[in-house]
Amino acid sequence: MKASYFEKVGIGIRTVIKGMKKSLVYFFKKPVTLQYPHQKKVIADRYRGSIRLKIDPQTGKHKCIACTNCEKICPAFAITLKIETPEGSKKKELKEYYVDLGKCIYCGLCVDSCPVDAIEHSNVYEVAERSKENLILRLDTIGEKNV
Amino acid sequence: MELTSLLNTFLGKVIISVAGVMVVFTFNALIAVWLERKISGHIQLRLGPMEVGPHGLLQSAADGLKLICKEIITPQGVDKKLFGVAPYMVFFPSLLMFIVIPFSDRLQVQDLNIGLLYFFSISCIATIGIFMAGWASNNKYSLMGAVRSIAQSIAYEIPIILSILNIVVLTQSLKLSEIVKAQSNMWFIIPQFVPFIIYLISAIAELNRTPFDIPEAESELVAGFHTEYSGMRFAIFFMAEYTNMFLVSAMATTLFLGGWNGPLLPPIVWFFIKTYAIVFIIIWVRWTFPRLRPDQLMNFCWKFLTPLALINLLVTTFILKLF
Ligand code: SF4
Ligand code: SF4
Repeated sequence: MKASYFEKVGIGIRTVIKGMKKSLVYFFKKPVTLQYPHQKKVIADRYRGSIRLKIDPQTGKHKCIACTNCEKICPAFAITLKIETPEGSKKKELKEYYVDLGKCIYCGLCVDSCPVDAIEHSNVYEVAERSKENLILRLDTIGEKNV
Repeated sequence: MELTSLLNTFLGKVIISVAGVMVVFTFNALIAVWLERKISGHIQLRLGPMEVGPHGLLQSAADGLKLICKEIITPQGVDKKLFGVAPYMVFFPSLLMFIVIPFSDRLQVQDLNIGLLYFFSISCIATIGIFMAGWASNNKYSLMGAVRSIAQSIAYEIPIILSILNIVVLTQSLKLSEIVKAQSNMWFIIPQFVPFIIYLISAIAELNRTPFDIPEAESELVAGFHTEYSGMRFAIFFMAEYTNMFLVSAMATTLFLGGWNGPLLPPIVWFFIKTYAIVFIIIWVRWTFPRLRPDQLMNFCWKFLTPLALINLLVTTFILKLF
Protein backbone atom coordinates (compact mmCIF):
# COMPACT_ATOMS: atom_id res chain seq x y z
CA MET A 1 0.00 0.00 0.00
CA LYS A 2 1.35 3.40 -0.89
CA ALA A 3 1.78 5.84 1.94
CA SER A 4 -0.42 8.92 1.77
CA TYR A 5 0.94 12.45 1.59
CA PHE A 6 0.58 13.08 5.31
CA GLU A 7 2.07 9.72 6.23
CA LYS A 8 5.07 10.57 4.08
CA VAL A 9 5.45 13.93 5.81
CA GLY A 10 5.32 12.20 9.18
CA ILE A 11 7.96 9.68 8.15
CA GLY A 12 10.11 12.51 6.83
CA ILE A 13 9.97 14.54 10.03
CA ARG A 14 10.65 11.49 12.16
CA THR A 15 13.69 10.40 10.18
CA VAL A 16 15.10 13.93 10.06
CA ILE A 17 14.96 14.15 13.85
CA LYS A 18 16.44 10.67 14.18
CA GLY A 19 19.34 11.51 11.89
CA MET A 20 20.10 14.81 13.56
CA LYS A 21 20.07 13.13 16.96
CA LYS A 22 22.49 10.46 15.80
CA SER A 23 25.04 12.91 14.43
CA LEU A 24 24.79 15.06 17.57
CA VAL A 25 25.51 12.02 19.73
CA TYR A 26 28.56 11.28 17.61
CA PHE A 27 29.64 14.91 17.80
CA PHE A 28 30.09 14.56 21.55
CA LYS A 29 31.81 11.17 21.43
CA LYS A 30 35.54 10.93 21.82
CA PRO A 31 37.36 11.02 18.46
CA VAL A 32 39.31 7.91 17.56
CA THR A 33 41.97 9.71 15.53
CA LEU A 34 45.56 9.03 16.55
CA GLN A 35 47.79 11.98 15.70
CA TYR A 36 50.55 9.82 14.36
CA PRO A 37 53.87 11.61 14.68
CA HIS A 38 52.87 13.01 18.08
CA GLN A 39 51.03 10.00 19.42
CA LYS A 40 52.00 6.44 18.66
CA LYS A 41 50.08 3.26 18.89
CA VAL A 42 51.21 0.64 21.39
CA ILE A 43 52.64 -2.21 19.31
CA ALA A 44 51.72 -5.77 20.20
CA ASP A 45 54.54 -7.99 21.46
CA ARG A 46 54.27 -10.44 18.60
CA TYR A 47 54.10 -7.76 15.92
CA ARG A 48 56.20 -8.72 12.91
CA GLY A 49 58.47 -5.73 12.47
CA SER A 50 61.86 -5.67 10.80
CA ILE A 51 63.94 -8.70 11.73
CA ARG A 52 67.02 -8.58 13.96
CA LEU A 53 69.53 -10.95 15.47
CA LYS A 54 68.91 -11.76 19.11
CA ILE A 55 71.66 -10.84 21.51
CA ASP A 56 72.63 -13.52 23.99
CA PRO A 57 72.65 -11.81 27.40
CA GLN A 58 75.50 -14.01 28.68
CA THR A 59 77.99 -13.52 25.88
CA GLY A 60 76.70 -10.23 24.57
CA LYS A 61 76.91 -11.64 21.05
CA HIS A 62 74.47 -13.07 18.54
CA LYS A 63 73.78 -16.80 18.49
CA CYS A 64 73.87 -17.42 14.75
CA ILE A 65 75.72 -20.59 13.70
CA ALA A 66 75.77 -19.70 10.01
CA CYS A 67 73.61 -22.63 8.93
CA THR A 68 72.09 -20.52 6.09
CA ASN A 69 68.63 -21.95 6.71
CA CYS A 70 67.15 -18.48 6.77
CA GLU A 71 68.85 -17.47 3.55
CA LYS A 72 67.52 -20.55 1.80
CA ILE A 73 63.95 -20.33 3.01
CA CYS A 74 63.43 -16.64 2.46
CA PRO A 75 60.80 -16.43 -0.32
CA ALA A 76 61.78 -12.88 -1.21
CA PHE A 77 65.56 -13.44 -1.31
CA ALA A 78 65.92 -10.67 1.22
CA ILE A 79 68.68 -12.26 3.31
CA THR A 80 72.31 -12.33 2.19
CA LEU A 81 74.96 -14.01 4.33
CA LYS A 82 78.74 -13.79 4.10
CA ILE A 83 80.25 -16.88 5.67
CA GLU A 84 83.86 -17.84 6.20
CA THR A 85 85.48 -21.03 7.40
CA PRO A 86 88.68 -20.12 9.29
CA GLU A 87 91.91 -22.09 8.57
CA GLY A 88 92.18 -25.37 10.45
CA SER A 89 88.58 -25.42 11.60
CA LYS A 90 85.47 -27.07 10.25
CA LYS A 91 83.08 -24.66 11.89
CA LYS A 92 81.62 -21.98 9.66
CA GLU A 93 81.48 -18.45 11.00
CA LEU A 94 79.14 -15.65 10.19
CA LYS A 95 80.95 -12.58 8.87
CA GLU A 96 78.18 -10.36 7.59
CA TYR A 97 74.40 -10.69 7.78
CA TYR A 98 72.35 -8.44 5.49
CA VAL A 99 68.60 -8.14 5.23
CA ASP A 100 67.01 -5.99 2.53
CA LEU A 101 63.85 -4.46 4.01
CA GLY A 102 62.85 -3.36 0.53
CA LYS A 103 62.42 -7.01 -0.40
CA CYS A 104 61.33 -8.51 2.92
CA ILE A 105 57.63 -9.36 3.07
CA TYR A 106 57.64 -9.87 6.84
CA CYS A 107 56.49 -13.46 6.46
CA GLY A 108 58.41 -14.76 9.44
CA LEU A 109 59.73 -17.92 7.75
CA CYS A 110 63.33 -17.06 8.62
CA VAL A 111 62.45 -16.72 12.28
CA ASP A 112 60.66 -20.08 12.27
CA SER A 113 63.39 -21.90 10.41
CA CYS A 114 66.31 -20.88 12.59
CA PRO A 115 67.54 -23.97 14.51
CA VAL A 116 69.08 -21.97 17.36
CA ASP A 117 66.44 -19.28 17.61
CA ALA A 118 68.92 -16.57 16.68
CA ILE A 119 66.64 -14.12 14.86
CA GLU A 120 63.37 -12.49 15.78
CA HIS A 121 60.97 -9.81 14.71
CA SER A 122 61.40 -6.44 16.38
CA ASN A 123 58.65 -3.89 16.95
CA VAL A 124 60.23 -1.41 14.56
CA TYR A 125 57.75 -0.42 11.85
CA GLU A 126 59.04 3.01 10.85
CA VAL A 127 61.50 1.76 8.25
CA ALA A 128 60.97 4.35 5.50
CA GLU A 129 64.21 5.65 4.01
CA ARG A 130 65.24 8.21 1.44
CA SER A 131 67.27 5.80 -0.68
CA LYS A 132 67.00 2.12 -1.53
CA GLU A 133 70.50 1.36 -0.26
CA ASN A 134 69.57 2.47 3.24
CA LEU A 135 66.95 -0.26 3.38
CA ILE A 136 69.66 -2.91 3.44
CA LEU A 137 70.50 -3.46 7.09
CA ARG A 138 73.55 -5.20 8.45
CA LEU A 139 72.39 -7.19 11.45
CA ASP A 140 75.53 -8.78 12.87
CA THR A 141 77.16 -5.56 14.04
CA ILE A 142 75.58 -4.40 17.24
CA GLY A 143 74.40 -0.85 17.63
CA GLU A 144 72.98 -0.51 14.16
CA LYS A 145 69.61 1.02 13.42
CA ASN A 146 67.75 -2.22 13.85
CA VAL A 147 68.69 -2.85 17.49
CA MET B 1 39.80 68.58 9.52
CA GLU B 2 39.60 66.99 12.93
CA LEU B 3 39.10 63.28 13.26
CA THR B 4 35.68 63.44 14.90
CA SER B 5 34.27 65.79 12.32
CA LEU B 6 35.72 63.62 9.58
CA LEU B 7 33.91 60.66 11.07
CA ASN B 8 30.64 62.54 10.92
CA THR B 9 30.89 63.24 7.23
CA PHE B 10 29.36 60.90 4.73
CA LEU B 11 32.76 59.81 3.41
CA GLY B 12 34.01 59.05 6.90
CA LYS B 13 30.99 56.88 7.56
CA VAL B 14 31.50 55.01 4.31
CA ILE B 15 35.15 54.33 5.09
CA ILE B 16 34.39 53.09 8.60
CA SER B 17 31.54 50.92 7.38
CA VAL B 18 33.63 49.32 4.65
CA ALA B 19 36.45 48.66 7.12
CA GLY B 20 34.03 47.18 9.66
CA VAL B 21 32.34 44.99 7.09
CA MET B 22 35.69 43.73 5.82
CA VAL B 23 36.76 42.85 9.36
CA VAL B 24 33.57 40.89 10.06
CA PHE B 25 33.83 39.29 6.64
CA THR B 26 37.43 38.10 7.06
CA PHE B 27 36.89 37.01 10.64
CA ASN B 28 33.84 35.03 9.62
CA ALA B 29 35.49 33.40 6.61
CA LEU B 30 38.27 32.13 8.85
CA ILE B 31 36.07 31.03 11.73
CA ALA B 32 33.25 29.49 9.70
CA VAL B 33 35.55 27.35 7.56
CA TRP B 34 37.39 26.22 10.68
CA LEU B 35 34.09 25.44 12.42
CA GLU B 36 32.88 23.49 9.42
CA ARG B 37 35.97 21.32 9.36
CA LYS B 38 36.05 20.85 13.12
CA ILE B 39 32.36 19.98 13.44
CA SER B 40 32.42 17.64 10.46
CA GLY B 41 35.48 16.00 11.95
CA HIS B 42 33.94 15.44 15.34
CA ILE B 43 30.67 14.14 13.88
CA GLN B 44 32.75 11.52 12.05
CA LEU B 45 34.84 10.77 15.17
CA ARG B 46 37.84 12.56 13.68
CA LEU B 47 39.65 15.58 15.05
CA GLY B 48 39.69 17.89 12.04
CA PRO B 49 42.63 20.25 11.52
CA MET B 50 45.06 20.16 14.44
CA GLU B 51 48.48 21.20 13.17
CA VAL B 52 48.40 24.88 12.19
CA GLY B 53 47.94 26.95 15.31
CA PRO B 54 46.18 25.79 18.48
CA HIS B 55 43.61 23.17 17.44
CA GLY B 56 44.15 24.12 13.81
CA LEU B 57 42.70 27.58 14.26
CA LEU B 58 45.00 29.09 11.63
CA GLN B 59 44.37 26.35 9.07
CA SER B 60 41.97 28.49 7.04
CA ALA B 61 44.50 31.33 6.96
CA ALA B 62 47.15 28.93 5.68
CA ASP B 63 44.76 27.60 3.03
CA GLY B 64 43.86 31.12 1.98
CA LEU B 65 47.54 31.98 1.61
CA LYS B 66 48.05 28.92 -0.53
CA LEU B 67 45.16 29.86 -2.82
CA ILE B 68 46.46 33.42 -3.20
CA CYS B 69 49.87 32.10 -4.25
CA LYS B 70 48.39 29.88 -6.96
CA GLU B 71 48.39 30.82 -10.61
CA ILE B 72 45.05 31.97 -11.99
CA ILE B 73 44.26 29.69 -14.89
CA THR B 74 41.79 30.68 -17.59
CA PRO B 75 40.91 27.55 -19.58
CA GLN B 76 40.70 27.59 -23.36
CA GLY B 77 37.35 28.32 -24.95
CA VAL B 78 35.83 30.20 -22.02
CA ASP B 79 34.12 33.55 -22.34
CA LYS B 80 37.00 35.45 -20.78
CA LYS B 81 35.11 38.53 -19.61
CA LEU B 82 32.19 36.72 -18.03
CA PHE B 83 34.53 34.12 -16.58
CA GLY B 84 36.53 36.82 -14.82
CA VAL B 85 33.55 38.85 -13.62
CA ALA B 86 31.43 35.97 -12.32
CA PRO B 87 33.22 35.44 -8.98
CA TYR B 88 32.78 39.10 -8.13
CA MET B 89 29.12 38.97 -9.09
CA VAL B 90 28.72 36.27 -6.46
CA PHE B 91 30.93 38.00 -3.95
CA PHE B 92 29.80 41.65 -3.96
CA PRO B 93 26.14 41.00 -3.15
CA SER B 94 27.33 39.31 0.03
CA LEU B 95 29.22 42.45 0.99
CA LEU B 96 26.23 44.62 0.14
CA MET B 97 23.95 42.49 2.26
CA PHE B 98 25.99 43.40 5.33
CA ILE B 99 24.66 46.95 5.10
CA VAL B 100 21.31 46.25 6.74
CA ILE B 101 22.36 43.67 9.33
CA PRO B 102 21.73 45.11 12.83
CA PHE B 103 24.73 43.88 14.80
CA SER B 104 23.60 45.78 17.88
CA ASP B 105 21.24 48.64 18.76
CA ARG B 106 23.67 51.19 17.36
CA LEU B 107 25.89 49.13 15.09
CA GLN B 108 24.20 49.04 11.74
CA VAL B 109 25.58 50.53 8.57
CA GLN B 110 22.30 51.82 7.21
CA ASP B 111 18.90 51.25 8.79
CA LEU B 112 16.86 51.18 5.61
CA ASN B 113 13.06 51.38 5.72
CA ILE B 114 12.93 48.44 3.39
CA GLY B 115 15.84 46.55 4.96
CA LEU B 116 14.19 43.16 4.69
CA LEU B 117 13.25 43.62 1.06
CA TYR B 118 16.70 44.97 0.27
CA PHE B 119 18.40 41.97 1.86
CA PHE B 120 16.44 39.36 -0.04
CA SER B 121 16.53 41.14 -3.37
CA ILE B 122 20.29 41.67 -3.23
CA SER B 123 20.78 38.03 -2.33
CA CYS B 124 19.23 37.05 -5.66
CA ILE B 125 21.97 38.80 -7.63
CA ALA B 126 24.42 36.11 -6.57
CA THR B 127 22.39 33.61 -8.58
CA ILE B 128 23.13 35.61 -11.72
CA GLY B 129 26.82 35.36 -10.88
CA ILE B 130 26.52 31.61 -10.51
CA PHE B 131 24.80 31.36 -13.87
CA MET B 132 27.47 33.56 -15.46
CA ALA B 133 30.16 31.27 -14.08
CA GLY B 134 28.43 28.16 -15.37
CA TRP B 135 27.69 29.63 -18.78
CA ALA B 136 31.11 31.19 -19.33
CA SER B 137 33.02 28.04 -18.35
CA ASN B 138 32.15 26.30 -21.62
CA ASN B 139 31.80 23.03 -19.75
CA LYS B 140 28.74 20.82 -19.60
CA TYR B 141 29.08 20.12 -15.91
CA SER B 142 29.34 23.79 -15.08
CA LEU B 143 26.31 24.59 -17.20
CA MET B 144 24.27 21.81 -15.59
CA GLY B 145 25.25 23.13 -12.18
CA ALA B 146 24.24 26.65 -13.10
CA VAL B 147 20.88 25.54 -14.52
CA ARG B 148 20.12 23.56 -11.39
CA SER B 149 21.15 26.51 -9.26
CA ILE B 150 18.64 28.75 -11.03
CA ALA B 151 15.84 26.21 -10.70
CA GLN B 152 16.55 25.75 -7.03
CA SER B 153 16.88 29.44 -6.38
CA ILE B 154 13.55 30.29 -8.02
CA ALA B 155 11.79 27.52 -6.15
CA TYR B 156 13.12 28.19 -2.68
CA GLU B 157 12.83 31.97 -2.89
CA ILE B 158 9.06 31.51 -2.46
CA PRO B 159 8.90 29.68 0.88
CA ILE B 160 11.62 31.97 2.24
CA ILE B 161 9.62 35.09 1.40
CA LEU B 162 6.38 33.54 2.63
CA SER B 163 7.96 32.64 5.92
CA ILE B 164 9.39 36.10 6.55
CA LEU B 165 6.08 37.66 5.57
CA ASN B 166 4.73 36.30 8.85
CA ILE B 167 7.22 38.50 10.67
CA VAL B 168 6.30 41.49 8.56
CA VAL B 169 2.65 40.93 9.30
CA LEU B 170 3.38 40.71 13.01
CA THR B 171 5.57 43.82 13.22
CA GLN B 172 4.03 45.74 10.32
CA SER B 173 7.47 46.92 9.33
CA LEU B 174 10.25 46.06 6.92
CA LYS B 175 12.77 47.92 9.01
CA LEU B 176 15.12 45.46 10.67
CA SER B 177 15.79 47.56 13.76
CA GLU B 178 12.06 47.74 14.47
CA ILE B 179 11.68 44.02 13.97
CA VAL B 180 14.40 43.45 16.56
CA LYS B 181 12.85 45.94 18.98
CA ALA B 182 9.49 44.20 18.66
CA GLN B 183 11.10 41.05 20.01
CA SER B 184 12.35 42.52 23.30
CA ASN B 185 9.61 40.63 25.19
CA MET B 186 9.26 37.50 23.18
CA TRP B 187 11.36 36.10 20.38
CA PHE B 188 9.39 35.40 17.24
CA ILE B 189 10.61 31.83 17.19
CA ILE B 190 7.98 31.01 19.84
CA PRO B 191 4.83 32.10 17.98
CA GLN B 192 6.42 31.49 14.59
CA PHE B 193 8.25 28.20 14.98
CA VAL B 194 7.06 26.68 11.70
CA PRO B 195 8.17 29.68 9.60
CA PHE B 196 11.52 29.49 11.36
CA ILE B 197 11.99 25.90 10.23
CA ILE B 198 10.79 26.76 6.72
CA TYR B 199 13.20 29.68 6.63
CA LEU B 200 16.10 27.51 7.77
CA ILE B 201 15.41 24.77 5.22
CA SER B 202 14.97 27.22 2.36
CA ALA B 203 18.03 29.16 3.45
CA ILE B 204 20.15 26.03 3.31
CA ALA B 205 18.76 25.42 -0.16
CA GLU B 206 19.56 28.99 -1.20
CA LEU B 207 23.10 28.51 0.07
CA ASN B 208 23.52 25.45 -2.16
CA ARG B 209 24.68 23.41 0.77
CA THR B 210 24.17 19.71 1.39
CA PRO B 211 21.51 18.23 1.43
CA PHE B 212 20.47 20.74 -1.25
CA ASP B 213 23.81 21.00 -3.03
CA ILE B 214 22.72 19.72 -6.43
CA PRO B 215 24.33 22.71 -8.23
CA GLU B 216 27.74 21.54 -7.09
CA ALA B 217 27.12 17.86 -6.55
CA GLU B 218 30.63 16.42 -6.51
CA SER B 219 29.70 12.92 -7.53
CA GLU B 220 27.76 13.98 -10.63
CA LEU B 221 28.99 17.42 -11.65
CA VAL B 222 32.62 17.50 -10.48
CA ALA B 223 32.16 20.84 -8.70
CA GLY B 224 29.23 22.30 -10.62
CA PHE B 225 29.50 25.92 -11.62
CA HIS B 226 33.02 26.42 -10.23
CA THR B 227 34.58 23.34 -11.82
CA GLU B 228 36.87 25.44 -14.04
CA TYR B 229 37.90 27.92 -11.38
CA SER B 230 41.16 27.82 -9.49
CA GLY B 231 43.34 29.95 -7.28
CA MET B 232 41.98 33.21 -5.97
CA ARG B 233 38.85 33.11 -8.12
CA PHE B 234 37.88 29.83 -6.56
CA ALA B 235 38.70 31.25 -3.14
CA ILE B 236 36.26 34.09 -3.79
CA PHE B 237 33.45 31.65 -4.56
CA PHE B 238 34.37 29.72 -1.47
CA MET B 239 34.45 32.78 0.78
CA ALA B 240 31.18 34.05 -0.67
CA GLU B 241 29.57 30.76 0.27
CA TYR B 242 30.66 31.05 3.89
CA THR B 243 29.78 34.73 4.04
CA ASN B 244 26.31 33.91 2.78
CA MET B 245 26.05 31.28 5.45
CA PHE B 246 26.83 33.91 8.06
CA LEU B 247 24.39 36.38 6.52
CA VAL B 248 21.56 33.89 6.38
CA SER B 249 22.19 32.99 10.01
CA ALA B 250 22.37 36.66 10.96
CA MET B 251 19.02 37.22 9.26
CA ALA B 252 17.52 34.24 11.08
CA THR B 253 18.82 35.73 14.32
CA THR B 254 17.32 39.11 13.52
CA LEU B 255 13.95 37.80 12.44
CA PHE B 256 13.34 34.90 14.79
CA LEU B 257 15.82 34.88 17.65
CA GLY B 258 15.45 38.44 18.89
CA GLY B 259 18.53 39.87 17.22
CA TRP B 260 20.79 41.56 19.73
CA ASN B 261 18.27 41.31 22.56
CA GLY B 262 19.59 39.46 25.57
CA PRO B 263 20.40 39.86 29.24
CA LEU B 264 23.76 40.68 30.86
CA LEU B 265 26.13 40.41 27.89
CA PRO B 266 26.52 43.33 25.47
CA PRO B 267 24.15 43.23 22.48
CA ILE B 268 26.83 42.50 19.90
CA VAL B 269 27.98 39.43 21.81
CA TRP B 270 24.42 38.14 21.92
CA PHE B 271 24.13 38.73 18.22
CA PHE B 272 27.23 36.70 17.41
CA ILE B 273 26.33 33.89 19.83
CA LYS B 274 22.93 33.45 18.23
CA THR B 275 24.28 33.76 14.71
CA TYR B 276 26.94 31.13 15.25
CA ALA B 277 24.38 28.86 16.88
CA ILE B 278 22.47 28.94 13.60
CA VAL B 279 25.73 28.43 11.68
CA PHE B 280 26.28 25.36 13.84
CA ILE B 281 22.84 24.01 12.95
CA ILE B 282 23.48 24.55 9.24
CA ILE B 283 26.79 22.70 9.44
CA TRP B 284 25.22 19.97 11.55
CA VAL B 285 22.52 19.44 8.92
CA ARG B 286 25.13 19.24 6.20
CA TRP B 287 27.05 16.45 7.88
CA THR B 288 23.93 14.47 8.70
CA PHE B 289 22.00 14.16 5.46
CA PRO B 290 22.87 12.88 1.99
CA ARG B 291 22.11 14.89 -1.12
CA LEU B 292 18.59 14.97 -2.56
CA ARG B 293 17.83 14.23 -6.20
CA PRO B 294 16.77 17.30 -8.22
CA ASP B 295 13.21 16.00 -8.60
CA GLN B 296 12.93 15.29 -4.88
CA LEU B 297 14.19 18.77 -4.23
CA MET B 298 11.51 20.35 -6.40
CA ASN B 299 8.80 18.09 -4.97
CA PHE B 300 9.82 19.02 -1.47
CA CYS B 301 9.64 22.73 -2.22
CA TRP B 302 6.45 22.89 -4.28
CA LYS B 303 4.46 20.14 -2.63
CA PHE B 304 5.44 20.64 0.98
CA LEU B 305 7.23 23.85 1.92
CA THR B 306 5.26 26.31 -0.19
CA PRO B 307 1.78 25.08 0.84
CA LEU B 308 2.88 24.89 4.46
CA ALA B 309 4.23 28.43 4.35
CA LEU B 310 1.03 29.67 2.70
CA ILE B 311 -1.21 28.01 5.27
CA ASN B 312 0.93 29.39 8.03
CA LEU B 313 0.69 32.90 6.62
CA LEU B 314 -3.09 32.59 6.40
CA VAL B 315 -3.35 31.41 9.99
CA THR B 316 -1.10 34.21 11.22
CA THR B 317 -3.07 36.94 9.49
CA PHE B 318 -6.35 35.38 10.57
CA ILE B 319 -5.33 35.26 14.23
CA LEU B 320 -3.96 38.78 14.05
CA LYS B 321 -7.21 40.07 12.61
CA LEU B 322 -9.24 38.23 15.22
CA PHE B 323 -7.51 39.68 18.28
S1 SF4 C 1 60.57 -12.33 7.13
FE1 SF4 C 1 60.32 -13.62 5.33
S2 SF4 C 1 60.85 -12.25 3.64
FE2 SF4 C 1 61.61 -11.27 5.47
S3 SF4 C 1 63.71 -11.94 5.62
FE3 SF4 C 1 62.53 -13.40 6.84
S4 SF4 C 1 62.03 -15.05 5.41
FE4 SF4 C 1 62.73 -13.32 4.19
S1 SF4 D 1 68.87 -19.77 10.38
FE1 SF4 D 1 69.60 -18.86 12.32
S2 SF4 D 1 71.53 -19.86 12.69
FE2 SF4 D 1 71.06 -20.32 10.59
S3 SF4 D 1 72.07 -18.68 9.44
FE3 SF4 D 1 70.02 -17.96 9.82
S4 SF4 D 1 70.16 -16.79 11.71
FE4 SF4 D 1 72.02 -18.03 11.55
